[in-house]
Amino acid sequence: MFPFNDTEPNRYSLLPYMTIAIVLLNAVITGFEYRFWRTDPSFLREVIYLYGANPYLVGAGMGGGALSSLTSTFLHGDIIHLLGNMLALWVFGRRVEDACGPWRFLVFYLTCGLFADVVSSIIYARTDIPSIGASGAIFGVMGAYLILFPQGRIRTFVPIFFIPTFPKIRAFWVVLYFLAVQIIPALNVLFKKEDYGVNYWAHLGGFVACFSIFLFLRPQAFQRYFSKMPI
Amino acid sequence: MLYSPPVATNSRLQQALLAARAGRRNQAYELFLAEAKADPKNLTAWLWLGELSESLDDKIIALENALELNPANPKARDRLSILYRERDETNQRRRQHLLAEAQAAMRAGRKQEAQHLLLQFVEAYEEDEAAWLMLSEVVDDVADQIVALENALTLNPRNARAKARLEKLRAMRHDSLALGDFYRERGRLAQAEAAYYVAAANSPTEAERRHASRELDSIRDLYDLSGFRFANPTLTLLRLTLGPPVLYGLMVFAQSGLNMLTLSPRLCLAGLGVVMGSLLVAGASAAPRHRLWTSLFGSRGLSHPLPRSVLGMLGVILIALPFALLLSLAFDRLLLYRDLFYRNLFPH
Repeated sequence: MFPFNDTEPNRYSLLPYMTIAIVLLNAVITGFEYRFWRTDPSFLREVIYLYGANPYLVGAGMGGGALSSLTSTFLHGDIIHLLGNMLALWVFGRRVEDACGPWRFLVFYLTCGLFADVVSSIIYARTDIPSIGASGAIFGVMGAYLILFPQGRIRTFVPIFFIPTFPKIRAFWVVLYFLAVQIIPALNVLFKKEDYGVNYWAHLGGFVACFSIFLFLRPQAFQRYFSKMPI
Repeated sequence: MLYSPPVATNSRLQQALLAARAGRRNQAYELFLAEAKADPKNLTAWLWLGELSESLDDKIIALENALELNPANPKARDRLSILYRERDETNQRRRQHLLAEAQAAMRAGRKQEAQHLLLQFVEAYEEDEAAWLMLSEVVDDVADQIVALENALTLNPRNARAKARLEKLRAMRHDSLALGDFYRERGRLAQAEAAYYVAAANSPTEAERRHASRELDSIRDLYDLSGFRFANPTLTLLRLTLGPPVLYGLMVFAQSGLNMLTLSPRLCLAGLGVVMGSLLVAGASAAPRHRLWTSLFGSRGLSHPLPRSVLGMLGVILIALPFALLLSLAFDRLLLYRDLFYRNLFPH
């Protein structure tokens, strides 16, 4: 299941400037990674080790600390990783940004990313493999979408026996699906020490951070939410 | 009995007297009342009515009438002064009870009930300054607030706080935009709509007219929807203030190796800057007419573009500086790690 568009309109603003800016920034950074990687194949590995969030170093109070936690949110391992994350950010971020305003949305996005990183640093405390990617922050945005627009409809690509279909699915089910597929691997990581190469705990951490959305909503959106009106 | 009323001469009086002495108070009362009505100058009837009447006020009226007929009656005068004292004490008790009830309703947030009790109170005791001040807090209408404060100030013209509030409200009455915001914060949509309507047409600056039009649109959007819940402006201010400090706190936590005991005091102190800056930005952007700003900058609060921009910018700077400090410390550490990384002292 691949969500690729939110079919509902914005209420407060015309364009999600900050979502677009974050997508562009991530794309530019990944572009730079590739640009230098082509001339120096060790470059990407160095970037990831220096600017990714290394749980062991974070816990030891070494390395980039807060800076690495921040920069890791803007790094991606490859184009597929970037595309998947940015598509999800576009689908779920547009209306969340509309409900917050661009600058508050940016702070919310970074808060989710940081919280995801803190959770993953605690769970993988003994690991010195750096983690990168915006997915922790994006899970926060998805969680916020679920809180604010559970009835929203998401246009989704679902291949059924190799036949592509594009149903509109309630946001509630889409987000629940993505949350559900994190839980079992996350428990395996915790109890069976399995390594999937995906930071499932950062995803869950980011999702938990979604509750901070109430600190960032526009006053009108906040009032509408508690008046049980469409935001 | 405190005194002996004079002996009656006519038959109705005789009957009334006999009934009074036999303990038939109601019958005696009716007979004395009939006698007083038939002969309003009958001193004996008034004196007995002063004794037999049920209510304190009726007793007082009867004895006042008796004293008018014979001002030299010392016992009646003494009795009357005792009744006056009793009436004052009862009034005082009623007054305190009513005021306490109104205060309790105010504290419990039952504004309508408090308003009702205070209106009752000021109707009976219009010389009570505290009641007028309380009333000015619970009535929603600006004009009503002004009247309540004017009455309080008539009673105590030296109350500086009431005077300042009155001036603010009077100024607001002529500023439709402020008036609209004032009513909107209190959920009085009809009055807010009327005020914004005037502001959209008459405000001096384009920005203010646009603001009024926007608010007008959003109010009309909500006007017919019952059950809309308005957030307390202080809650909004606090809510929006908390966001950047939460992010800063997470970053400091990551920087300190996820150990609260190794938190740098310098970074903790800088966190106060984030809180202050965040408060200024939230105030400038989302609650420009909050009480905090109106008490600092007059009735228009931060609604004027200049102080709003200045304080908003100051807030951004106050937020940015601690983040810059934190990131520079993190960057120094990153350079150190980079050095070790390239010297292969760390696994990669």
